Amino acid sequence: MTPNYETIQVGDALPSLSKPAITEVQLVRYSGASGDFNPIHTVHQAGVDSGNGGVITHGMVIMGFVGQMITNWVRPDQVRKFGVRFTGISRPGDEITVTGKVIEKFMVNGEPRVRCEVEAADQAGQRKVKGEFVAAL
Amino acid sequence: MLDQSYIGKKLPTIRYQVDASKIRELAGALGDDNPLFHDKAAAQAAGYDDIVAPLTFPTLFRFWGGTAAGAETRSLLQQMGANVLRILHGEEEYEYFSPLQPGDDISGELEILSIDRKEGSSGAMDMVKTQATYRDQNGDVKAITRATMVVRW
Repeated sequence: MTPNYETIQVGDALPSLSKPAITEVQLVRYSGASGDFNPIHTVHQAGVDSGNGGVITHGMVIMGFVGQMITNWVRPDQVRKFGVRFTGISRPGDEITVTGKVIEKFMVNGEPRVRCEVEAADQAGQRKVKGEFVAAL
Repeated sequence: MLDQSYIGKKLPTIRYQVDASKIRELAGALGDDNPLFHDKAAAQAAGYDDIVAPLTFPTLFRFWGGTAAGAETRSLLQQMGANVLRILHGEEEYEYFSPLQPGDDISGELEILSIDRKEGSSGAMDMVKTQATYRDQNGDVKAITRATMVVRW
């Protein structure tokens, strides 16, 4: 269902995305895919030495989940801007849900756009990232 | 204290060739099975000429697009004096101009915009802001990225 600028309203919720639990293997895969080999994400002792008690998830994995939610809703070429602030650490086992809502409708050079706020939180409701994106509709 | 002489510096040019395997690898690691990221036929049915990259793909450039001189952000922060175990990602932001696709030959320069000291409840932190503009082989801007890395002491 393609969102429509005429019918969409400020305050409308976006379709949420619930991800399966993060696994240690997923962090290894993401390290290889992204090139971010900081050992705090893959080596248990490095996670302990960093003061986190074990490996922690790349923030970019959580942002990637948010990106997935966005491109489930609009096509990638409709997204003009996307930014987040990382507000909490995630660990293997965390089950992340991404939610969002429309906060503004506006025109730029005749192009109708929406600004949406998005956030990702774990099964305990702990927020991991908070951000915004702008999409052309 | 991080080496303040890096403020305003640009790193050696980042180069990265986008290919279909890497796009699928990133989407697969995220568990994102959107056919636009995996299946050329599905992407063509949606009006693209090939698969497109997930939204967070431009962050790969500064990790994989480094040079022997060390354009990779983490090694850069280490050169500046940070302990790699004490680095956190604070913020990440993209401006998009057109989707990244296989065959895009990307180049860009990562610039250190600022280093700001913050005194938090758990001690001092340095906030390192970076920006990069990535162009394709035709000189067209594909994406601008801005990031804040947090170095704890």
